[in-house]
Amino acid sequence: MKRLAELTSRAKEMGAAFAEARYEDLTETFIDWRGAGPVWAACGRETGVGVRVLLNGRWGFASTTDLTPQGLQEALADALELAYAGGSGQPGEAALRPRATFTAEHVVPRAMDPRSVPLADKLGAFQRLARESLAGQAVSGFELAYADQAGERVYVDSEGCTVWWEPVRCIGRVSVTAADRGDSASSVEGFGGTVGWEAVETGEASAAARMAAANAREWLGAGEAPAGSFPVLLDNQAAENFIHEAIGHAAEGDAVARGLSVLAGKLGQQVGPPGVTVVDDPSRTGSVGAFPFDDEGTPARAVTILDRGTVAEYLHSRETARLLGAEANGHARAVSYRYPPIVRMGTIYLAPGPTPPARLVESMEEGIYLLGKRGGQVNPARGSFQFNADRALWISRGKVAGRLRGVSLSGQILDILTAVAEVGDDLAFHTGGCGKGAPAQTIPAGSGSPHVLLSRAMIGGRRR
Amino acid sequence: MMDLKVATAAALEAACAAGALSAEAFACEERKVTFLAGPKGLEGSTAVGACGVGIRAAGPGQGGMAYSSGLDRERCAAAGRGAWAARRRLEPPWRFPGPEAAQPVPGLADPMVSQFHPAQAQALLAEAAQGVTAAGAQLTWVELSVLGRRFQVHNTLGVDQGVLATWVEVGAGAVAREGEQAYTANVRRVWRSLAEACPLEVGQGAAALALSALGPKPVPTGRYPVVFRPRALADLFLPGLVPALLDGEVDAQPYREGEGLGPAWFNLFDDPLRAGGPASRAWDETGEPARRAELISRGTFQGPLRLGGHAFRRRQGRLTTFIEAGGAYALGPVPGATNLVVRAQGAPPLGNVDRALVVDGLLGAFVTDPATGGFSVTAAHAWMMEQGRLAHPVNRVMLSGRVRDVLSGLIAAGDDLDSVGYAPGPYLITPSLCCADVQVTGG
Repeated sequence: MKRLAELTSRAKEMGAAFAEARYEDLTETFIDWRGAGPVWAACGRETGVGVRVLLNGRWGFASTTDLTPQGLQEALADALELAYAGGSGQPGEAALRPRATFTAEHVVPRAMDPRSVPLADKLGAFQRLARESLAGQAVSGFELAYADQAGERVYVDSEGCTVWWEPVRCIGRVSVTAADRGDSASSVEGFGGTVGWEAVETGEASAAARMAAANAREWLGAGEAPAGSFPVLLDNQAAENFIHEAIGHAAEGDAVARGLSVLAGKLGQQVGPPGVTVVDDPSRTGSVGAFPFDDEGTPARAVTILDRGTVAEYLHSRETARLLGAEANGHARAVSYRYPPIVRMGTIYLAPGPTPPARLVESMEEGIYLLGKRGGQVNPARGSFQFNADRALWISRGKVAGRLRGVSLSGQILDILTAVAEVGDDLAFHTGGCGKGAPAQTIPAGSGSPHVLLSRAMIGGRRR
Repeated sequence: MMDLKVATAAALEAACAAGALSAEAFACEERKVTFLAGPKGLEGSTAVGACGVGIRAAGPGQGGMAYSSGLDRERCAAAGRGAWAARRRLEPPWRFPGPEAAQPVPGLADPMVSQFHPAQAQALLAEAAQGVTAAGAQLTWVELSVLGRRFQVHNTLGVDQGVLATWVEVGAGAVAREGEQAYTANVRRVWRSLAEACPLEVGQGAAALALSALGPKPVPTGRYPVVFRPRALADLFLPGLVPALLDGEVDAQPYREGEGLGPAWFNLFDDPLRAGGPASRAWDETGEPARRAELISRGTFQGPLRLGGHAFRRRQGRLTTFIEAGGAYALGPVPGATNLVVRAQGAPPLGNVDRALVVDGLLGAFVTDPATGGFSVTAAHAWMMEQGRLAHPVNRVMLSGRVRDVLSGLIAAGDDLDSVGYAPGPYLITPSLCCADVQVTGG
């Protein structure tokens, strides 16, 4: 911590208006499992420092794994040189929202620190999971990707802010394939979060595997989805995918500040029905997208993006907060010490409404019920987004009339918000991830939602 | 900081001292310097680096893997000891190449851009910005990245091979506005040296795409011939086809060797030795000489890419768990593609296609399941082509189908060969291809 403080002081002496240093020391395990055995299993340690400076209104960032005094000085010199690359002429416009200085410590709670569990025990647990899954009726394939990380992170800046915390994450994703009479179907489920090995030990992983197996089996023989515009019901996972892509990315302060979001300039404007309240809450304990401080050292807090359909607040770093005249709210995240922080979501969710999901199904005359999530993508400037569901059902007169696969939904953010007809009462959270930025940063991001009924949306299906 | 050779030697020595009978160490150092500018000039610059060592240590029927960031002796030795401590039963055992593999491949030199100085960035960014504004669009961002990557693979059988590779990437974003509606477009290109880089073209390309989206018209839902431009093909094939062509990548291999997949004029091969190729490399990541592999010849699948000259991709956990492994050193070698080249020899020209939907870039294609090849995506940019010419842009459209059906439905190819991908690869090098019949959801 002392060395980091010396580094930021040195940056100030060299002319930087602001400097920050982030140190990480993380012990990790990665397991990649296919069928009856692991394809890869590796343990490792990642240690390094990232230095960011603000000089003449421009940012410079460099990272290093060389933690000697000389290595750190070289990283600082790189960052200063990069910030200075714009020359001493016209200054840049980057600046930070002022904030109070503070010192904080935090240990993310965990029942079983993953570092205390030998690799052999982790492999043994997944061996049992694979055996159970592969013994299931019609199951033909089992894949699992697992990663854990634990250690310490330190943040120090030239304004006197110091943060020390001990993060932990255990995350997995199970994919099960079922096959019968020449047909096959697969389903994917995630487990874990900012928790310890208990994510596996207490049965969450096996529940995810059972769920994926049951879904894969049930969707054997499912038909192709039709193409066109239909009333659509989204289950929890499909709806959280929708909220993440359609609302979350459009609310990121960097896109808003550049005018590259359809939500730019809409603070205080009603863009959706009163039943739509969207919050990003990185303080949600255990969520894969939970963190006590962001990577600028700002305490993370819940941000209400849409308050009963009205744009209430954007997600901010200190820089975008200053640009847009707001308070920094703890949403500047970096994948690791190697990258500079950019504005990201933590755990985004849609607040629950009044209607039980069963009633939403019953209310549909004809339409598509999207289940599960397989990822999505958005262009916040054009306002177009798309996401893929894991599987789907055809609903006719309030009842399930068939199983469908290969289905995705595409929409315009502002149009689709007005299409939200009803919100369910069954809020649930799941793991997920998100990629953004250049260099691309892929991070764990949590999300949650109840069921959502859309009066109409564009469905891409393969049926003629 | 240690030299990569010394780092791998330290890791091997520690693994063998701990009890391993054979081992392979892989050290990697990457540095990507990125300059980002907005309409008002340079905003910031980053130097993102990663370096570390990964090691596989083996004994009879068993082996283990570990890695560490950094290249100092203590951390490399800890990784070596950790690999042996993490050993488990292996079926089949790991096979490390012997010294006979370490023969140089003539005629493939990696160009160097190490002389690049940050002050050069301003001029290159300005050139890209000029390309956007001169064409009549608004600039949203321009970016220049210079990536340098060295790796060293060293094993106890005598392989000790180092490679240096460099890339220059330029990206530009443009926007054209029509009332409240903004039509944005991004273009990125990659070169292997600064001398080849042409930022002006990138800016012009982004502007042309944004401006060509003005005044879109709807198209009804139905089935259409679709011309996939190179970027759309890369978006579709890199996640939806290529993993199914890598040995062991998908659980249920969807394509059988000898199976007809496309027309007789369709050929797909991986060529790591391609002159000037964006992903060309002399050796793979186990130290074996790289070599060209035919994947689809005259429309027929020839078999998957296998290790032994094609270990071009150390698997990284982040792809599925969203936790990032250190860098390329973090996990073991798996088969990977480099320069995937589509050769449409003797294909009917696109001019033969009278009416089709033309798409450039796909949203959501990265979730395509390679085991089934099923896709359902939104076109990033789309136009109707009538009488062989672009007639008008179209509103948002979705395309759905199976990669297998796209391949078997190919009826024509363009002459606009382009390479699309991200450093260090893989890249798809292809002309536009037209598929006769694709399900389109319009509005």
